[in-house]
Amino acid sequence: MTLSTRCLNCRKRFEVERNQEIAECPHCGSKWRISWVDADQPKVQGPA
Amino acid sequence: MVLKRKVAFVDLTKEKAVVEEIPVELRKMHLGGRGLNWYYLYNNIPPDADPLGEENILAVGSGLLSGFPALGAGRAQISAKSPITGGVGDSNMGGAFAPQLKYAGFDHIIVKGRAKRPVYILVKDGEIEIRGAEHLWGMDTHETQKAIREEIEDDRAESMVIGRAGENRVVFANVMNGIKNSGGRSGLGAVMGSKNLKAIAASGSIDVEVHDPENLLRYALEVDERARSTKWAKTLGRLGTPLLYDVSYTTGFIGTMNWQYNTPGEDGSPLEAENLEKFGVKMVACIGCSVHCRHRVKIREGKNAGLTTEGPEYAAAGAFGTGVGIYDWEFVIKGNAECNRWGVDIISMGTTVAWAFELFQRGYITEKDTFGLKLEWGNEEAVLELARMIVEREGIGNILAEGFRKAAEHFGEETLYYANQTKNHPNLLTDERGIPSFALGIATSTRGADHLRSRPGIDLFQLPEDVLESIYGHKIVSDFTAYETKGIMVWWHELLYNIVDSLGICKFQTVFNSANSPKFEDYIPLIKYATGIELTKQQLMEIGERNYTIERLFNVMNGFSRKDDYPPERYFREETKRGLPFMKGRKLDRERYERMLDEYYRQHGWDENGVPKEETLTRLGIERPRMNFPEIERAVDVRKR
Repeated sequence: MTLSTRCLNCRKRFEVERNQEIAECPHCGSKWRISWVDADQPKVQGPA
Repeated sequence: MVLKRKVAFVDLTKEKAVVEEIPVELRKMHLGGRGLNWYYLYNNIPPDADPLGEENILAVGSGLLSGFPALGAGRAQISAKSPITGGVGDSNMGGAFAPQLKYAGFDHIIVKGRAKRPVYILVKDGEIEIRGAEHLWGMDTHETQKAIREEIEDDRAESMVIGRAGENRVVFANVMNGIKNSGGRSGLGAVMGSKNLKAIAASGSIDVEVHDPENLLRYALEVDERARSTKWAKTLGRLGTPLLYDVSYTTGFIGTMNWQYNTPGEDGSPLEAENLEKFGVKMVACIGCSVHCRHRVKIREGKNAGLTTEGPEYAAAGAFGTGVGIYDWEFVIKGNAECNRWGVDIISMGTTVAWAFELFQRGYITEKDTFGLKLEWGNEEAVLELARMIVEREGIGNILAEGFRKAAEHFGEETLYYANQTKNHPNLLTDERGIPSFALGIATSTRGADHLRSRPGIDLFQLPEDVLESIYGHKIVSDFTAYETKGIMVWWHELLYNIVDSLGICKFQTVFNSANSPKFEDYIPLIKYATGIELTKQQLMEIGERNYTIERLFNVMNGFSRKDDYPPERYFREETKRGLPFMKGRKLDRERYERMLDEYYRQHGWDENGVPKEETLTRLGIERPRMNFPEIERAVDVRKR
């Protein structure tokens, strides 16, 4: 199952590894802190 | 047809009431809730009526589907001429009041006049009673609800009540049910206070007849499952509306220190939604809702240890957070709890207090005016004390309690520039400068600045244009910083949100922040199975358009026009200073805004001044106001105590 969230900078979706806490958007290079709504749903919490 | 429901017209001056059956034809024109409220008010409030006078009329409506198992359909609509704007005053309240009103035998209560003494109205099993409320006057909103339940010996009774703010006619006083469900906007608590009406309590066990119960339940579960499985609903059920804070402060569209900045930046990270979870007890819901978006919280240590309450919502994170330069959930929880007990709109309170703080910063208000209170950013004590003074109308609070325009007569007309409002109605702590569709929405909203009348939250996602066309039925520009086609987008959401409010469904169960949430066509089977009324999507949209145009006409009759359809002047003059790169240095372009407004009027069939054209009124079947409040002299006396 591919897990993804939306980048707040470029608004494109990008993939995130399960339980990953910091992620970089491959489209625009923005770095985000990631929180998990549940085991399958990541979201951007704020800038890293 | 199962729709044999009642409307009660209550005259508090005469202490009499008339009960009528709501004609099915009216349902087909307006549905219920907000739509039917405004049918009654448009036809009965004279244009020159004083919002706090006897002639103003308060309408309380249960949504057409409230009380049915349907997408969180437990909502009530409260409407009157607003003491803030002098036009449409309208607010939607969750909780459990609307279904109880229905089970008590009434879908709508229409109240005119002014009681000679404090009273409350009790509707129970088809009966109406006006009871003395002298002993309730002075109580906060929680004490009042408890006292009413004890007095009528009925634990199932639900009340919509006012607190001290409503009694004192603070123009942004609200109406409350439960711990935090509020008919928050438009100052309707002040309207109740002006009528000496402390509460309306409802209780009953009258069955609500269903046209096709088996199919209603089947379809309701199906559509509920779809709504609940969206990413939006899942996140909402975990973090509540504070989830929006993470997006807005990171991107840069949350008003900070009275919109001098568009985000607190890193300073604001303590208010991230995830940081509220340490106060969490559990998530709770309004009646009939499976999302559970409301926090129940407890402060477990420190100076506020032991405080247990519900909320706060995203709005409170602005009002008692970024707006006044405070980044502490504990303080936001405290401020939120106080406002709910006082019965005052948190959004309006926060925006008014933030305005006062900037006027203090700029020297328009001094310590002499505040009796020594230092209105300095981040001063928690000053924020809460000023809020209390507003509610109790003490000192400078008495000036601020009258709203921006009247207060500016005291502080200087130029101070209105710093007030974030449209139509004199305080805005939510969102900064719409970089998002033209949001700016148009707060400017054209019939109740004045507000995010729940038309905000196209999904505009921020920049969805592919073929997806947008499939939703809106028009070509829509994907770029959320664009102006073109956004007038059509706002028009579509105005119609949708009107339908949702008229059905009694929650805004979070429609296309607001998720493109996958239910929309017009998904409500058609619910209406059919619940009531037997069969509508096409086109007919449903036309009802939304009719209802919205009636609200617009009410405003036009009260002197509103194009001049009132602009966002705060600050948005045209001052650029944003912070946020993500694309959000920095943004302000509204005046010429492009004018063209967007023109497009919006054209889409509605209104003229260049924002007045509905005759051909539009004919198409929608809207007639001139009838002023047809029932002959109350012929009515039977209500039971009195």
